[in-house]
Amino acid sequence: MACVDKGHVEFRPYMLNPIGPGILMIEKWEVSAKEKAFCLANDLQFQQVQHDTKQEPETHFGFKNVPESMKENLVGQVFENVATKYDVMNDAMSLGVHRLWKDHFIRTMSPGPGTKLLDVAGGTGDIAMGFLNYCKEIHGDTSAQATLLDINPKMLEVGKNRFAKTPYNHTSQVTFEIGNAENLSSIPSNTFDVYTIAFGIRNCTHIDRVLREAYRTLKPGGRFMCLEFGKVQNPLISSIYNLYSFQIIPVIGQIIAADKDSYQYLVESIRRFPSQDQFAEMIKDAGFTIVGDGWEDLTFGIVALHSGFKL
Amino acid sequence: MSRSIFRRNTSCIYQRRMMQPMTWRSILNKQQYNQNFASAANYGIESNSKFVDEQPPIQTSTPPPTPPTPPNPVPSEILGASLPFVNQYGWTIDTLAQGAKASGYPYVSHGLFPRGGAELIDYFLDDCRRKMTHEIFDKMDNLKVHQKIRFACVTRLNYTKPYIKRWPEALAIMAQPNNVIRSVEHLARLVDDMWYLAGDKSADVNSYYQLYMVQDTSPDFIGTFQFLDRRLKDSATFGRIVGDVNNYVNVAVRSAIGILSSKGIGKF
Repeated sequence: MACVDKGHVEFRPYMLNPIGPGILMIEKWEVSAKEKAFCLANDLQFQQVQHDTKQEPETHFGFKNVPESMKENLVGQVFENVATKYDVMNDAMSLGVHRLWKDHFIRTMSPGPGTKLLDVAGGTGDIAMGFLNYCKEIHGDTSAQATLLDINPKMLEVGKNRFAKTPYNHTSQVTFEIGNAENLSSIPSNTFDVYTIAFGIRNCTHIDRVLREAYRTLKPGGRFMCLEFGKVQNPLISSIYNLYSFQIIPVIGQIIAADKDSYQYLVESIRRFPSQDQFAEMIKDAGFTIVGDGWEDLTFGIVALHSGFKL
Repeated sequence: MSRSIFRRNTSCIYQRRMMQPMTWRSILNKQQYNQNFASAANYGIESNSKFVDEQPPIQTSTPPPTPPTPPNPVPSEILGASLPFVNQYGWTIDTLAQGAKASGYPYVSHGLFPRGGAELIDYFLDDCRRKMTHEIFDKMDNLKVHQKIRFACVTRLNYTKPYIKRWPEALAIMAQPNNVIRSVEHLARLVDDMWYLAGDKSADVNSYYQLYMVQDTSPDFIGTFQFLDRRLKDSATFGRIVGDVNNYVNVAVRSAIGILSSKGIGKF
């Protein structure tokens, strides 16, 4: 399984053909970043099995286990690959329903004039855009501010290009920042009214650290809101959903983004993410006050809207 | 519930004496009553009866139950601060947001109340009920029962006065299907408190005449109070003449409530 990357030349074990012409077959091809990432993941898994001496704690990357230090890079690779096709893919995979989820998300937040939003894993800017539009349309307000933070420069680039076509561009209403959700050292404590993370927290290595940082950066009374895939309880819906996730989404990924593996990772990572009640418990553990259950299921629990307050 | 009943029974056996149900009831009533006053500014609808059930009224060998975690004071603070904004913004999340800002919290703190205006109305009704009990508690010594009821109703209606222009909106919100049960619950509690203070310990059907009166606040207050007097007179006569029917309805309502609460619908 081990594959070694030497520039653009790749060696694979099956290329070694001992009974053929007796020489090394070298195939020259362009190795995409995606393949590098997945080879890396496979390699590391392989090495982990072989050398138990390596004691670094593991975390999951889809259904695979990788050392914690690797996950960030691997996720980075995935999103680098899909950045340009991200919005199209969202529409295709969710049949447009992700727009309804995000609309509902903003309406649940119901921000008011002057609200300061930190949109972590903001990427292509769906939430920040929805937030600013809401403030403008409902309150006629132009003092609301959104900060888009993403670890991935390519995703943030897509967001910037999108905002460049809107009146918010070059105003104080929107700022972009590259940063890690687990360590928001550039952001002072008690700064923001709302912290949002939509379909992002799943990809973080240490969810508890992310939640702690969220708690720190929020003002007292501020709201943590998270939109994330959940677990479907209804067995009938669940079986249809599983079929769709594992059989259809990777194919759509292959057709539209020419990247099956990234979308395979997507559906796998959804299955590895804690269930709604477990995640609500984690939110509580970070210090947040939750109201009622602490989450709202959308579309049978395919997606859950989690909320916590810093009181 | 059943656990605590069991505990009480065993404690009775343990102490080798039986207590008359009436004694139990008076002890329970007294505790519930005290609890009402102690928790004057509690957030939301606290379940007094549950609290009382969990507390064995006589000393037993079982350890005392752990007290419920104190409710966070911030939500009720925000709700209290929101009421002055009702006349401007109505019973809406805007009002709650203004209340939050007035208490030094961000606008989005209104999310603490996912049912929006309905939760503000809940708070208002609970608050009024408690204020009424405090207000009239020690001023009713020399009054007859119907005078006591009238006094209680007038006191309670006066609390609605400042918000009368916005009160129809509140009624509309309370009449929404998902809020109806809660509204009836508020009403039942209010009527219960009134009759308790008036000296009648039973929540009979008579008391539910107040139902429409308390909620039907017409802009003309004198008209309302006259209407109140007429209804009170009516209820007295009506009660005498068709006492039998009254009893029948009483039993029907009680069993309906019993069935509902056994299904877990509403706490009566």
